[in-house]
Amino acid sequence: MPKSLFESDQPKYNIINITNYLCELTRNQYGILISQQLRKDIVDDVLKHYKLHVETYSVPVNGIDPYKFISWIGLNLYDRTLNEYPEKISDGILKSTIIVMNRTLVEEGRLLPKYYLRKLFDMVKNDYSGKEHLGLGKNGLYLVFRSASLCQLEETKYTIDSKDIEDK
Amino acid sequence: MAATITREEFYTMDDLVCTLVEKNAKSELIQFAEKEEINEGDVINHMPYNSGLFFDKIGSSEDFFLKSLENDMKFASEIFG
Repeated sequence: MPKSLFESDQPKYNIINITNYLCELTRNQYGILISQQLRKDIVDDVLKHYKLHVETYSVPVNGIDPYKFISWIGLNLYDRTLNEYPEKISDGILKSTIIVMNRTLVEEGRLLPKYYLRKLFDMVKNDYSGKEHLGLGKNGLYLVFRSASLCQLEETKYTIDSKDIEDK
Repeated sequence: MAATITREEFYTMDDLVCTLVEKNAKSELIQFAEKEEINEGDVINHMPYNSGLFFDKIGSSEDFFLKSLENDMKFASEIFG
């Protein structure tokens, strides 16, 4: 019998804390209150998408990947508010999402250039405004942060002698 | 500006358990990968250690939650104006 990820409490606490932190940052910074019911509906959607994603790409799961979770929570909210509310509402949600993803990365001791954080915002907006060819995609946002989180530095195993280059 | 939190709108363990019970009934829960199911080179989905500590502290200390919000609000203003 396969074991569920949620037999342990840790992933549950991670989901609860991430969701509330993102929603409270959005309210404090941009004045947008996200109700408990909406938080519940979004987590429901994201868990559905999460399962589909890990099955499609055969991803082994031992815990909640915060970058996937934050990104999909934020984009789900962004999508829901985009055509229903003034643009500054959905923009605030997207900005908060990027800030919480950045905070998670900083906790891992890694940094993205500030310019890239602004560019990510612009690129995601393009995805939702008919300019997909200039966008990033629903999975691109998490992948940027996840890749930065996993990035390792390795020494190259060869040396290029500048004299060789000059000779050719 | 000082941050505040709206406890009455918090997503709770009861909310999540309710969702998980529904998903369990429909066999829609995410499966945990046992050691023997993990191949060499697989990138395993997990909560990174330090990020995990951060989110645990968010859940256990209201002071820490508020201070972190204030730091991130300041940073958000710096990045997005």
